[in-house]
Amino acid sequence: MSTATLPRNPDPVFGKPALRVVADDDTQIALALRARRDGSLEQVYERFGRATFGFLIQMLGDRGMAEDVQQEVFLEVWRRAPQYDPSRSGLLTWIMTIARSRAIDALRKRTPEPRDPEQATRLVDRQGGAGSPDAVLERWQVAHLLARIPADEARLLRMRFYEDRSQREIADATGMPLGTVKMRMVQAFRRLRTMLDEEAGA
Amino acid sequence: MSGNRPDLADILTGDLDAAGRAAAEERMRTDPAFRAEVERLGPIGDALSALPADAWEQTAPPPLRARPEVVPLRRFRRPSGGVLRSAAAMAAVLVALAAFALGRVTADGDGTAAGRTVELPALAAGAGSGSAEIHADGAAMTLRVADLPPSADGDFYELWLLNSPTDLISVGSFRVPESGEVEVTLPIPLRPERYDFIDLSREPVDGDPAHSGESVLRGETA
Repeated sequence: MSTATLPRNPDPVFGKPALRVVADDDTQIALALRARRDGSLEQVYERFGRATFGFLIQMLGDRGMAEDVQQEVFLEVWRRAPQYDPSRSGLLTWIMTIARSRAIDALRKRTPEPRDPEQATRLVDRQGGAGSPDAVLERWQVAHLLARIPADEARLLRMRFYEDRSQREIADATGMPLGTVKMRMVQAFRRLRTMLDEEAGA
Repeated sequence: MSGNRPDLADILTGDLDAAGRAAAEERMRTDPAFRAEVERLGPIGDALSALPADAWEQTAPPPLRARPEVVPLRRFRRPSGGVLRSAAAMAAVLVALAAFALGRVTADGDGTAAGRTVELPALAAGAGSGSAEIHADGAAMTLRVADLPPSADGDFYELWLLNSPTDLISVGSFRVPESGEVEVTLPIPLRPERYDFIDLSREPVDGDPAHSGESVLRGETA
């Protein structure tokens, strides 16, 4: 057979597919999902299912409906997997956007009026800042990312925002100097901000 | 809060009394950089404050009820071994037979075509010709080749999206029957415009997923 070779390349490992060089777990999962590899959906579900389900329960206010929509979301994730473009957004953002759309669809179906889908979307968006789909969505993105930051930072955030302890009380409970508690709090905030921005493709 | 001058942590965590809040507002008014940082990080605190207990307790979601079918792409190109090689050859033959019998192999999707076509000229005389039609939705491409040397027992053809020998991705593999003609539709895992070339190579069945370096056809995507 007549063939030609690729251009010479100084790389001694000529031709190693870029897919083998992956930066992190999310990237690996995204690549596997896009190629629809066996087990990839289960991996994606294990990683992101909690965030989408939490978002759906909060949006829909009905666990049964949230369970149904959750299934729809991940079937759509699977169906659209080859179209996912990591240069445009992180996998979390992409999946949460699908969840947002399916949640709005479910709310439209549940509410007999209004019939205009655009109007329904506007009404959903007007549920008030804290309860708007985008606010709830960002909240659950943050919840997801809490598991990705260093455990000691996540622990401090939990003590402050879930257990409702003051920073002074946290310092006493952990034995850390108050200044260290504050420094790590700010570090955690900055880390979450950076991760959210990266997720959004900023 | 520390003294009368609230720091960033005090404000972000809402750990302020009434006097502290007044002092924080004053500092934000007089210190633009500080204010910018509070505004950048503040939504994180809002989100954390509004998280329900489920978010902190790591409540598990319900299990997936249905499991979609998996497309067995390139299943025969796993690490080498006699049995695996035999299985690989068998799988490749099956793909080739399907392509030969049906004139088309659809690996995924509904095959929506009517996209743009990239010509794939031979890189050496007598190496056949081909074209790749990228579907309008960018999710798949249909490859049509003619006059290619038929696949031998120990090799097959592989389609790539490629920028360089180290920046490439496999789209799929197939065998060419005696006719030298194949039409195959394969899903594209990445946006094709990210790559400069569509490349068709001949690959040995050796369990190595890397490009063999033996390109047969290649066309520019732009």
